[in-house]
Amino acid sequence: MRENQNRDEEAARWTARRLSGEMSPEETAGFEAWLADPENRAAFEACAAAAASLDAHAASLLAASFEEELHAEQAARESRRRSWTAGALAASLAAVAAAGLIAAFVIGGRDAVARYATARGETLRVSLADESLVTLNTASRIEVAYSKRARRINLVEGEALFDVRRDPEKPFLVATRHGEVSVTGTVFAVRSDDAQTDVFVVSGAVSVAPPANGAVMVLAGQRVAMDGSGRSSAVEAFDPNLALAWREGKARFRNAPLGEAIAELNRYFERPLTLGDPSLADRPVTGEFDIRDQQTAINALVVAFDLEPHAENGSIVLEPASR
Amino acid sequence: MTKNTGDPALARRLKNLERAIRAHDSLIVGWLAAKLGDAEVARDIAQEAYLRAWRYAQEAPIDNPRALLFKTAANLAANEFVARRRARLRGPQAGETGPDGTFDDLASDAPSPEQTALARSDARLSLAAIDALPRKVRRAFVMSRFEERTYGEIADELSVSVSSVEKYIITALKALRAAVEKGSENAGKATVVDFPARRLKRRRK
Repeated sequence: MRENQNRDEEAARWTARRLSGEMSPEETAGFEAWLADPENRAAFEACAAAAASLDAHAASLLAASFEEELHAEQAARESRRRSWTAGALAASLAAVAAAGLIAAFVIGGRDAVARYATARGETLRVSLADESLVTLNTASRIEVAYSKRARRINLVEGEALFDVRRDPEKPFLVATRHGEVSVTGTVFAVRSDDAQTDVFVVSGAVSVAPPANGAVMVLAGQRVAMDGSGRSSAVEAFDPNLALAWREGKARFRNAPLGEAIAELNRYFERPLTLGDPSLADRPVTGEFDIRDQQTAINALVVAFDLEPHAENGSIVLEPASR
Repeated sequence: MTKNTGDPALARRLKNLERAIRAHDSLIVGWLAAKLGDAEVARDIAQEAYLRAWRYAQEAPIDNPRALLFKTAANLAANEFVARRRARLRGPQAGETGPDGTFDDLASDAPSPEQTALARSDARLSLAAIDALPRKVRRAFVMSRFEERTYGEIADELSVSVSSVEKYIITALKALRAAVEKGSENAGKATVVDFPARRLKRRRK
């Protein structure tokens, strides 16, 4: 019935080229020339109007397309998961889930939750239902929710060392506001403050999953950090004698800037230390401090750096000794 | 949020949903973040989807918690997408044909009630036409028109060649044009659609 089938075909072709948004200048010139014919223009406009005729339904059409993408993504993950051979690794990576929000959500549901907390300067050792051991460092808080499928810990704040009893059926998951750490059995510490979460692995391997990049494997003797960007740092070696000295009631430093060492010590002390002279902050510190005894720590600093302590507004200011 | 009833069916339902949320949270959040280019918005939308699903589960049985989560997240993401597109059209470039060669100008003018009525009848036929198309053709058109993805990206998503994508788009355009023109013929009038208001006047004779 149509003589204009060619024209209509061309119109659809040009409209598709225009929709691609990838026309070369030559193509555009060709298009303009074709469009100069009024009948061509009418055919093109009819095609363009047809393309726009569903605009009122953009949301429902997009939703259906998005839904298909999610199902496809799920199917792809499923087949990747099946192709893994190492069972334990698969279990820990498959259990990669979300951080604080989801933990809070689930805990707000119906699992029985146990809560443990320490005050500043305190540590606490807890034996959990599966005989895994948790040691809470200073000013720390955890929520423990065990279910048939998983052992979930929410590290609300502070630092905890986990000695996890092996159970491949039930991954042990530690969530912080920056991401999630999952293992099936190992020893590792997680430390979380406003800025970032650090994970230190003492033995075995853990999977660390910040929300924005994929899970990262961290092996014994390695540490990794996650921050508010939702990404993880590079995995690097750490010295457990320094990073985990708190287990023995110590803080140890090797060539650490004094400012950092003081910030670390202040995690344990009710009355924070401050430096009276900012230039002191870069002086290197090497040594061991007793984190249960602030006076001894202050004395050590005073002697080593030739300082004078004085109390001020609830804190202790360390000034260069006047002479 | 959680009703404290002794209803064991409800308890089972919520338990299943909770399990599905745990199992698919990283997928949903990761997909949303990639789609919307913003991890924080992704988190918010996922959380909203879980809450909606949770509320829904209080009221009605759920066959497939995962499908419910995907559908809810997809709906919210689509709404966000459309809202962003509208905001863009209201912006300084409103009324122009964008450098990406899309036809925003044809859709951006606020329609009169008559035009809306007409658009609705056009859209009904167009919807039927796009639903009747093969799945990949339909998705290629939706991704191009509403997500403004390049044909290369669409080819990756559908695992086909770029030239196939272009063929799909041409197929979809022809089907949509036929549907729109069928609507016009039914109304007994010409097919030029660049000035719908004038067309309406003619139609009333």
